[in-house]
Amino acid sequence: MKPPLQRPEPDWDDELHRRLKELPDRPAPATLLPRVLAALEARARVPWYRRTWWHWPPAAQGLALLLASGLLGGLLWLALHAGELNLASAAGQRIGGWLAPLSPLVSLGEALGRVVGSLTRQLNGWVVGAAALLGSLVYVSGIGVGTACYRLARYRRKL
Amino acid sequence: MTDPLQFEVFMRNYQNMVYTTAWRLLGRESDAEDIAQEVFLKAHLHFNELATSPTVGGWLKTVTRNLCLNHLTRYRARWRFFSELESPGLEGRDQGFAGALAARDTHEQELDTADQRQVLEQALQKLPPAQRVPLVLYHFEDLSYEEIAARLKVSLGKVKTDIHRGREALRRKLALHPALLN
Repeated sequence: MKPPLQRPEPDWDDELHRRLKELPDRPAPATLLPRVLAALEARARVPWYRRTWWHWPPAAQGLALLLASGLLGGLLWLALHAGELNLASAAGQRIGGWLAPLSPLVSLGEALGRVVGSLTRQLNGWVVGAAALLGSLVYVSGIGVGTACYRLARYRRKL
Repeated sequence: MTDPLQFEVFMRNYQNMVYTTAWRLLGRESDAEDIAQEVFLKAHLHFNELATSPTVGGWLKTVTRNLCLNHLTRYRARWRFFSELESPGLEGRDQGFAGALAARDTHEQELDTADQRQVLEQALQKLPPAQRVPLVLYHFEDLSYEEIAARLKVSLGKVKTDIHRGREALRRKLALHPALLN
């Protein structure tokens, strides 16, 4: 049932509005100012490079922008002209040289990939799907439990 | 570079207004203090422009209101749940509050202005959030019904109903103090 929306006594609304507007401000707690000043001090102690880009010094912002643009432009240019310059194989060899120390990790990854591939070929698709679903559920519940713990800790700290 | 002393003076000038706005909207002192802190940390980032701006009060009020509404939206499910949970007991609580006021009224026939304001402020705070928030936005923040509906993401009808119910609840509470209604 809808409540009546008509206002039989508009004077009361105006009077209430006037009285509410006349209410004085409540004094802020004495802890507010020290809290803000402490937070500002803590923020000032954070080095500029650990803040978000928006709060970097202008020179650093410009330089970072220039470097990022240069890097992106360079990569784009290389991707477009690698074939023309016959750089692909040379670059591949060079990158392979750089990645040589990581070869045991690459081998491990390949071995794991072969095991997973062999398992998926031998196992029923439903089993693989169920395992993936179970893994996702465990992951999601982990996030949920973590969030609940964080909120509980935050709430208790506030109390 | 912000002068710390200048910022401290700025904060002392506006902290009551910011805190009161947050407190009236959120209804919890601890939450209001958190929001007020956030508002002043934001203000510090723009202090060079704000320090000389004639509209600094409006800026602070708008930021406070937006942060409060974001806070309320974030905890909306819980807010709704508890406000619905409280509804059946609200009348009882109202009566308890009214009873307390009535008892007090027998001792004090005349309320001075400060007491009247305190009674009104208390009555406002005792309203459930679903009524208090739109009422505060309408009467203190001067938002229209349409703006409140858009901001709270509820229908226009609900806003009107909640504000109407809030006013009626205030009227019932204040009826116990004829001095307040005259």
